[in-house]
Amino acid sequence: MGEARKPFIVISACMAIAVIVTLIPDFWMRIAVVLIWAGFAAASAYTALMKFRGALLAGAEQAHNQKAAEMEQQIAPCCALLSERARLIPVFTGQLQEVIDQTESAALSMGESFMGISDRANALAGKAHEAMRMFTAGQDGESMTHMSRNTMVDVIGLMQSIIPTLRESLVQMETIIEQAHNINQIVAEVEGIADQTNMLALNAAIEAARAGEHGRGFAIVADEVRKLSDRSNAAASQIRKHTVQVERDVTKIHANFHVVCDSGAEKTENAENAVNQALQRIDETVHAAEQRMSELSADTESIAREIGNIVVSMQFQDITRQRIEHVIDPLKAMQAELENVAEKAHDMSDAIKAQDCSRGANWLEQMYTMESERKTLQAALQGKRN
Amino acid sequence: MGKTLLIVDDSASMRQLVSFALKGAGYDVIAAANGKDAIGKLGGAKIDMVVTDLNMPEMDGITFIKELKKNAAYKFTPVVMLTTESQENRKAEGKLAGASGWIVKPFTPDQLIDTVKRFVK
Repeated sequence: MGEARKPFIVISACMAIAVIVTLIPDFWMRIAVVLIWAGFAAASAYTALMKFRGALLAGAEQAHNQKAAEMEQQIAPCCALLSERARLIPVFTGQLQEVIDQTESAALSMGESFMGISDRANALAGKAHEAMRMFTAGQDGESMTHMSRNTMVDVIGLMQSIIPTLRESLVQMETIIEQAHNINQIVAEVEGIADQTNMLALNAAIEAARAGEHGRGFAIVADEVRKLSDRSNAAASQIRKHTVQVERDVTKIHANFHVVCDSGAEKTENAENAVNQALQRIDETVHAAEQRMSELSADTESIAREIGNIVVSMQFQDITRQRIEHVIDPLKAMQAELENVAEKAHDMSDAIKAQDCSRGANWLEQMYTMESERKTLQAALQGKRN
Repeated sequence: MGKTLLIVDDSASMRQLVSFALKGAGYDVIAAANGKDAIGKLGGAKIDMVVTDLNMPEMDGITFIKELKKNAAYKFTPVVMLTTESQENRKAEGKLAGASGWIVKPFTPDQLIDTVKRFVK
């Protein structure tokens, strides 16, 4: 039955009934017909009203469902996007964690190398220091150079002390030669005396011969005197021979000593010069060594400072790690939030679809008292759902 | 020298650097990755000082100090915090728990050794 024609039919029916009623003569028959008509009208009106209500409800539900479907259409892609983005976050946090792990192992191996180098540098510095110390200070507190210096000074001193001794010997030898001369002079005197004595003895012998018998004793004495002077002469010439030999020998020795003295003096002077030069070079070397030592100390100090700076720089890994962790943690929280929102949106669209409508239907169902009312409601809901 | 220090930090490279700086100055070093590990490694051994980080997994620095001080052997052991944390309220919290000093990362070896010398005679 066309819905638009319905009111037309109703009005026609009313008019028809009205005509029929006016035609009926009996009052009570009129009343009865009116009542029956009223009953049918009421029943159909009621049915129509219920149908209308059901339609309204179904319409409302349809609109609702349509809205829900529209919302779901709009929300679903958003949910999908949120879920997909949320799934990506573990990838990012994973990459960041990878950065932490890689920089940690790099820092550790770098640290090992650096510490190895530092240990070697310290060992080298220690060895150099020790070598220098031995050079300048030696083992028993006296350095090698110091001992060399002292030895050389002693040797020079010794050499220098020899010369005066030699010179003293020279002087003594000159004294000997002089004495030899003196002796020869005395010998010459003795020889002179011996010769004169010989002459006297000869004269005495001649006088004795002239004296004859009386001179015989005197002649013997004169003879003895002559023998004595001969012996003196012999002794004197022996002495002279020896002293001449002594003089010759001593003069030779003297000449040798002189040569030695002079060359010795020269050699000592040369040696002294050479030693002084050597000592000067030693002093310069020691001085240079001491300078190197102080430079070494300064270098060691600057190395220590550099090591300090490197230790500070190498703490970068730990600090970077903390910064990155402060990014990872919020990212993970954001992931949870995204997933939460996606879920809520999904729930929301589901809730709109099922929750509100079911709530509305329950309310109506409770209100309805008649089975037919309920049937109409169910039919409407089911119809629209299908 | 014979003095032993305990270093607690969850970063391996940090433990490496602190050990290097301390060993260079002649100290012996025990290293641990967090508070729980530290207490396990100590086992009553004699230590002269503790250097510890603040934020660590399993057991953080402040909880560790409190746990450590419960042991009579370590009640008077000096503890120094070595951390990036520089907020005053956290420092106060540390001091309350028993920390004697605070070094903010990054540290220089001189700074660390000076601090150690202050507490370890």
